[in-house]
Amino acid sequence: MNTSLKQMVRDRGLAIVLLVTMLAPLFVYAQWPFGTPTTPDAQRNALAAVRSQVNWLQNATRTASGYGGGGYGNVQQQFESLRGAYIGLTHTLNELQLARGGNDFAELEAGLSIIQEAFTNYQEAVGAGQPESTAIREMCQIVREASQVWLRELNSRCSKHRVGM
Amino acid sequence: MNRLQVDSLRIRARAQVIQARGDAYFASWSESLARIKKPEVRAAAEHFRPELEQSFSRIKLASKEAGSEFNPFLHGLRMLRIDLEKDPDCMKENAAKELVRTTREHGKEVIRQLNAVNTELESITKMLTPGKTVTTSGAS
Repeated sequence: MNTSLKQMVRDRGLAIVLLVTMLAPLFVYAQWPFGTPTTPDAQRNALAAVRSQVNWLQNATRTASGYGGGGYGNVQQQFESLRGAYIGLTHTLNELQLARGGNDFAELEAGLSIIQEAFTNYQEAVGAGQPESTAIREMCQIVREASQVWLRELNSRCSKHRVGM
Repeated sequence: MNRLQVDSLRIRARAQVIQARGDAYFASWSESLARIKKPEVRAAAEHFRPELEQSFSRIKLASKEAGSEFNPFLHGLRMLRIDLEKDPDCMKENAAKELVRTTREHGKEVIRQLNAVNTELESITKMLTPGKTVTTSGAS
């Protein structure tokens, strides 16, 4: 009886050791799988996703006027994806970057909200009687140029706070 | 006008965040001053901390005023342009004249508040630049 009890304890101990060994690589990456990793790799990937999304948005603004109302929807959709990608990037920032870069990253987020006003302005302009083709051309120009300014700020601030480095 | 919307992006974003983060914005800014390599700038930041904080409060107030005047100013400009595109003679009407007047007033107030911010920034620069005479601007 004692022998079988000892055997059972030994087996259970072995099982725990095996389980810990199997899970060990997961503990190496802080927070994963319970949250977004804040490693330089994760930051580089997230930053690349934001930059790509700015390109997609700018492409959408170049072609929007040829698609009528569908063009507006596409620009808006690409803009929402950019916002999502930026939020994703902020989730990869580590504690030091968030503490030291709090103002900088909040300004980038505010910048997106200001760019978004172009969509409301478009609706308002059409409502006030501006031809839709003119209104969408102007909206696209503002979104395209503002997103270029925003991207320059993003690059400068990410470099300042060593995002992805 | 499109240029105005794009070029004002950075300053509008900063003004919004100064309002939203308030004391946390100043605290973060002070910490970044404390990390500056030049010891004389760090010492000046420490020495003038109360004055810097007062200056920041005035910047916060002026930014808020500038922001709340900028929106109706831009809106007025956009509406005036649309009205003019639809009917170049619309300026003869009282409603259009009134819109011109109010838009101009909002624009003047934006400039006045931005000048106030500029005065404070110059004052901060003097405080943090060794050898420069400091004259704090007060609530003017």
